Amino acid sequence: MKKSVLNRVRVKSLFNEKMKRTHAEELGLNVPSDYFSNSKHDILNQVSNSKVKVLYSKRNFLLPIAAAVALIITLTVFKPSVFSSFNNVPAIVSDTINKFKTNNLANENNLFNVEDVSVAALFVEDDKIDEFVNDYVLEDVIKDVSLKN
Amino acid sequence: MKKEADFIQQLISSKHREKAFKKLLDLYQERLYWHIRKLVITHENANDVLQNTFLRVYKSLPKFKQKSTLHTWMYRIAYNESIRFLEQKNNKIYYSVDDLNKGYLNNLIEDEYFDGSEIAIKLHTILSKLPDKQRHIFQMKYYDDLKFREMSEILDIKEGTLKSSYYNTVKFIEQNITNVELLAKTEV
Repeated sequence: MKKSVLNRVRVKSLFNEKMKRTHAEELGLNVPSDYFSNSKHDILNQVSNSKVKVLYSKRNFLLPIAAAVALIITLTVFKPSVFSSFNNVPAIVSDTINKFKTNNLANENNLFNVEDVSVAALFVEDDKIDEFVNDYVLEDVIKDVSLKN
Repeated sequence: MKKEADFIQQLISSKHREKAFKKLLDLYQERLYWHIRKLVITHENANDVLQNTFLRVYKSLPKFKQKSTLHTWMYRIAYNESIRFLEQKNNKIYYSVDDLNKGYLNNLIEDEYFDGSEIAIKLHTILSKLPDKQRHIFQMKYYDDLKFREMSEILDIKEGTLKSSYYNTVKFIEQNITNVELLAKTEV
């Protein structure tokens, strides 16, 4: 195995030597001394630089994706309830709620009573809208008359 | 052929790529340099084109479909890189065929790494009279020792056309080598 590798190396160097000699003798083309070993070094450097560039551009592309995935995982695994601060209601808010409750300021009926007829009309079925309008107008007229009296 | 397929696999695999590429460089660096040098004439240009060639080979290896041999593919890339280089350069400098011929000889003789004998200068003078393609065909066959089949793939020209071009060039050189006036370095 080693012998065949050595033979191959010998054949290659003979071939290269022959090419170099032919080009020099017949065409007058020469190269600087140690050119091929220096050039090999330069080419390998260039190739490794291009590899770094490729990796760098890939990383540029991957970073935002990785960040987005990390954010999704964080929001999925560490739910907001995990953070105790999310459950802490500030004192000023809890005081206000208590005052509303004790003074009966937050009457459920009052809160959900729809005063505006145009808003209430939004929740009425199409086929019952005429009936709703008639009732409202009638009720409104009666109310106005009774208030005047 | 299987060995070549294995070698290509090594060149593509991220694990063996670096080692295999060094081997590829060992195998092809010198022969591609000489191939390029005859096309672009000066050492400096050949050095630039050689680096571009290997860089392109490195980047294109994952896309290599193995429709040709690695050997032919490498030469094709080197040839195309050289032609691209010459086109860019010629667009900036030359305007006529005569200018191109003068450019060939001027570039050659001004090159620090040209040291041609009388016969070498005669040969270059004859070669400079040939159309580019015909000169390339002669150089690829005579000096790079490529097969007509390989040249056909590299140049995209039919084998028959290549053969007739080559033999015509050989005849043309034989007829002219004794008639060409010797061009002294200062005269060109």
